[in-house]
Amino acid sequence: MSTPRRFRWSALLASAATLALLLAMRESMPNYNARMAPIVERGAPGEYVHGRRFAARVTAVETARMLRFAHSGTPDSVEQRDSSGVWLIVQASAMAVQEPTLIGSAAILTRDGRRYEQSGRLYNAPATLAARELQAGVASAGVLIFELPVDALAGAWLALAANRIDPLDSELQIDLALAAPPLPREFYDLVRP
Amino acid sequence: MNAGRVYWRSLAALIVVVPLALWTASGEDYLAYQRHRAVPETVVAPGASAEFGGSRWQIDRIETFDAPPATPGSVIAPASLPAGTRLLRVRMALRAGDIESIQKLDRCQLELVDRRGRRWTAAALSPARRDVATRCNGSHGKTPQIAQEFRFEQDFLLPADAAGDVDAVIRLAAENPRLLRLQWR
Repeated sequence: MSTPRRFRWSALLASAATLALLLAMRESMPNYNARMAPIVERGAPGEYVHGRRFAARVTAVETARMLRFAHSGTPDSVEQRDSSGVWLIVQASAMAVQEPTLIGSAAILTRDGRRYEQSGRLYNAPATLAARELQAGVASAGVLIFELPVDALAGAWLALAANRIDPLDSELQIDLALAAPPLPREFYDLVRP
Repeated sequence: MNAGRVYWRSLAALIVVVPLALWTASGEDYLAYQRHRAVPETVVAPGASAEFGGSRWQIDRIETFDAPPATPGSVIAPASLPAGTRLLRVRMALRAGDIESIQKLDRCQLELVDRRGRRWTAAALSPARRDVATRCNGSHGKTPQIAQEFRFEQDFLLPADAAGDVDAVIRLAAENPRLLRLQWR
């Protein structure tokens, strides 16, 4: 009589374990956003971070209250832009991996989850690194310029991707090492950095 | 039928059923992916020429520089090349067969590729050149004519490790996805 009784208990246990496993699988299944999210490659400043289409390296980070720049193609027409926040200037270099590509999306990710795209206020300014065609194995250096509140600087990361509307691709996220943000200088000169 | 035999037969059936199920579910997608990936390219041996888009194409010359060459007629001193790179000046020769093949040259691109599959497009390094045509369809009054040899030159910036190991690739929008690959060496 004892053998069938043990069998029922073990069957019940197996069923319970299977059910628990199924529930765990269901709960841990990534949602739509997670499945469609970019494939993140993280790195530290100074080192090349490699994605599927390009690799990038942050060489310096500066902040300024005002920017000075010359119009593209007319170096004599110089303009200045101030900010109610702060200008963040990221000096970086990047190279394509296999074929020519662009940095289609450059943004700053803040500690509290905000995202700041590159500033669109520098009309006619010379092209930033994000506008240059990158060639395979050839490092191209340039700046990326953002405008953000001063309190968003601490702990900020740079996020770079080849395409803003194709999320199933690499996104490079590079720590800007701004745990203690530098004091902004009065102005940053893009004409003669 | 004993349990052991059923077990092994079921296992054997799985070997057939699983691939069949995978093929039924994704076979068409896989074939479409393969068709999309396949690049129908015509490979031409070093020194030879080939017909493509109604024109006959050939590599005329490829020069390698480790510093920017001076541009004839320009007083602007060329900047230095980035470290670890070489400049390749590629001169292509083409002979268009008819007016239609000349029209096809309007949407044409010359690229370099290496054996690792890396691909480069022309770089605007030196000041605009006027001594030679710099596009497939001509520039500065130098344009291709029917049945006449036409040459154009483009500069490419490549990593030093690729500079000796590249082929020239011609893409014509009218011939997509076909392309012409002219081996250099």
